This record gives sequence, structure tokens and C-alpha cells, in this order.
Amino acid sequence: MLIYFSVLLFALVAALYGNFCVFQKQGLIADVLGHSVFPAVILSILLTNSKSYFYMMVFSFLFSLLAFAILNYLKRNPLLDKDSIMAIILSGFFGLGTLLISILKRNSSNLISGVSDIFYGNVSAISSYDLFFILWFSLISLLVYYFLRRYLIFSSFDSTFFKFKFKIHKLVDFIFYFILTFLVTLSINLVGIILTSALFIIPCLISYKFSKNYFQLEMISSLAACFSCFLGVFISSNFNSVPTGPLIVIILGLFFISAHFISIKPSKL
Amino acid sequence: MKIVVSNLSVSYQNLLVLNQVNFNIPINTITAIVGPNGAGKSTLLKAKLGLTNFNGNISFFGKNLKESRSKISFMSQYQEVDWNFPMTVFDLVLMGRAARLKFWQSYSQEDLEFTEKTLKEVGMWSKKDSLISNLSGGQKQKVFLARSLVSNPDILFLDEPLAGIDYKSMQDIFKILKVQKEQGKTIVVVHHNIEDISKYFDYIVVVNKKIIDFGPVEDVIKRRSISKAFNS
Repeated sequence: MLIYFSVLLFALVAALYGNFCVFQKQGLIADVLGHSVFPAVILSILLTNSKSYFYMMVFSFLFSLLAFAILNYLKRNPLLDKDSIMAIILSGFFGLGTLLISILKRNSSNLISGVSDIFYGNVSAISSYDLFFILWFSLISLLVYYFLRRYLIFSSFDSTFFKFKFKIHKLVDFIFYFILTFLVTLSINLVGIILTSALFIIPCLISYKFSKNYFQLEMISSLAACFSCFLGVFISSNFNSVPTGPLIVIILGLFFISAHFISIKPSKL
Repeated sequence: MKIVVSNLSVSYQNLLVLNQVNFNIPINTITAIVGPNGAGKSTLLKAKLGLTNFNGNISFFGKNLKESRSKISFMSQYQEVDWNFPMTVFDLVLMGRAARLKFWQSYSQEDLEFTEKTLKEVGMWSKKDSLISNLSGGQKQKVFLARSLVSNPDILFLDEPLAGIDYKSMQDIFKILKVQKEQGKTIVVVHHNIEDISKYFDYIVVVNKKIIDFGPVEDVIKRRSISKAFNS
């Protein structure tokens, strides 16, 4: 029961925050954060000589912050557009992770088993302690979302107006990316590094095709994310050899294709 | 009582965009900021609003920006906004009331009534439940203008509010601005069309990296400063 409750709550929060990634034209941000987690996890195994979920989380969070800092630094360069910056960070961290994994293979070959769970997710590898952590953090994120929602809508729609009218614009941005970073880190064992952005982005793309206002968009994207995660976890936990991440992404992908054919408005996203 | 800009300079990455700009705008007027593309019109507006770093001083009827912020409203450029955002016309206009609220507060009945009144003033009440993506160019600008008016500001800054709209919508928008002026508001508009300038504006600021001229519209036209700015 706990696993379903935690995962559904997490999916709901990921969809709500993911909607803003799409509307702030930062669709790849979850991917960037996800890929920055890859070397972090391997480094945590190498340095602590264990596969402690806690250390993985700490390292992942620090690396996500580093990726985010590099992203903001590179944004100042007028020659680089958003996509190029994200591509640089994404491939850079992936390269570092690949290098670290070869070191891990050479030095601690006994710890290499189960590392693939980091790439594609495996819900059965999550302990009850980790599930409680996911549950509590998702609840806190949901509460923060309640207060942040209005400002995130304003900043996504018209960032110039938002910056002029609201003195708290920098604080809102900081909280948003702080929570997003944590959510991406938490999603490692569920969907995996490679597929994490799909959980944040696809629900919004599905929902956009049926929504007449932002509240409807939130409802439909949350439903799509929760249903896909429920099915993914159900199949994965009953057929142990199937990784959770790809299942969730395939289900979301099928929803997206179906939505494309039965949508009520033309695709603009 | 004036908006006073003194010794204002703005540069981006060592490139001087505006150099030692000085002018003032009297209260209760409609003023156009005109100049060729890349002259620094929008930069000047953004500097006034504190949206870009600058050197120099700007005061609004004797007060600085921090003290005046709640009395100023701003309409962004049409292209700077995500019109595909799933939002209704009513919600967009209501956004203009949000700066008064604390983060834990919801909109009051007064906010909703004010939004309704403003939408009726700009003739967009019948579209209140429409998605903003379904509006025409002129309707979008009217709704956008309504968002700036709904906070009942004393000063309105509008960045190219007439860009990409038809003649009828342009006339409607100027009618709304004239009513606002009669109610005592000071309106500053970044404007690109110089042909009809004497018809709608009281004052003009002509800019091309620096101030070419400013003053009452008839005087500036007599001095042929606009053509100088466009040809320099």
C-alpha cells in the first residue's frame, strides 16, 4: 500500500511542477538534472563503498545544484542558446558518469550489480525508509505548490510583468528549482536517470490537448502521471524482471499518441 | 509634477545602448517614445521600470521607483508573452490585481468586481471565458491593456501596444487611453508608427541611443526631430 501511495503522490507532484518546466520553455531541465545525477550516484558508490540510498541522494542533490549553477552561468553567454547549453551540460555529466562507471568496474566490481536500476528505475529496490522519505517530501512539495502556484503561472506567462510587479520573483525561482532538483533526485529509483524527464514533461503535453484553463491542465496532467505510474509500478512489482521506468514512459507515450489523435485543439506546444 | 529622467545610461556587454538621456514627462499626458529600430525605446522603458541595470536617476512625481511601484502599471510587448498558455481572459486580467495580495491571500470580491468592470471598459467582457490563444491580435492587446488598468495605476507604461493590430482595434485602444487620461492618469507609450503621432499624443520623446528631442507634439514636429532621428 505504502509503495502505491508514495509513488502516486510523487507522480502528482512531478506532473504539477513538470507543467511549469514546459511553460517556462525548460523542457530539458529535468533531463539535465537527471543526467547530472548519474555521475553523482556512481561517485557516491565509489567514495562510500556502499549503495546507500541516503548517500546517493546527498551526492545527487549536490550534483544537481552544480548542474543548475553551470546552466545559469552559461546562460550569460549571448552566443549560446538554451538548447546548446543544456546539450553541453547533459553530455558533459553523462561523459563523467561513464568515466566513473569504468573506474567502479575496475575497483569495486562487486558493487556494479544493480547499477542499471539507476538508469531505468526499479521500484522493488526502494526500501520502506526511502518510500517514507519520498512520501514526506512529496507532501511538502505539494504544500509549497499551493502557495507558489499563482506566481509560477505569472512567471510562465509573462516573466517581465512578474519581475516588475513581484519583489519575490527571485525567491520564487529559487524555491521552484530547489524542489525540482529534489524531485528529480527522488525519481532515480522510480523511472531512472535516462527517462526522468518524461515523467515531468509528457503529462503536460497530454493535458494541454484537452485543457481550457490551467486548473484543467493540472487535473489532467496529474491523472495521466498517476495512472501511468500506478500501472508501471503494478506491472513491474508483479513481473520482477521488468524495469519500472521504461514501463511508465511507454504508458505515458501511448497516452500521448492517443491524445494526439483525439485532442480538442491543435498542438501548439 | 513630472516623471524626470536624468543622466540615464544603459549598456549591455560594454555596448552603450542609451547615453546620458535627460527628459521629463508632465503629469496627466499621453507621451510617445519614438525612434528607429534598435534606438533603445524599449530599453528606456525597461530602465524606467527597473527591469534593466542603468546609471542615472529616475523619479516619478518626486518619488523613486520603490516608493512608486504600486502606482505604476506596465504592459509588456506582445511577443514577450506565451499566448499559448492555457488561461482565460478573466484570469489574465485578474492577474493585474495579484500584486496587492500577500502570498497566502486569495482574490477578494472587490478584485473580481474590478476585473469585471475593467473588462467591460475595454469591451472584452463577452470574451471573459475564452482562452487567450483564441483571441485576435487586437483582442489580445485590449485584454493585455485591461490587465494594466485593473490595478488602477496613476502611471501606465505600454510597450508597443499597437503592434500588429488592425485600424479599428487601434482606434479602440486610443479611446480607452483617452478616457484613462481624463481620469488623471499619465500614460507613456513606446510607439513605432510615426504617421499618426500628432493625432493621439500630447508629448513626444524622440530617441536614437540618446535623446534627439522631447516636448509637446506640435513643437517636436515643427523642429523635424523625428525625421532627424530616423535618418541619423
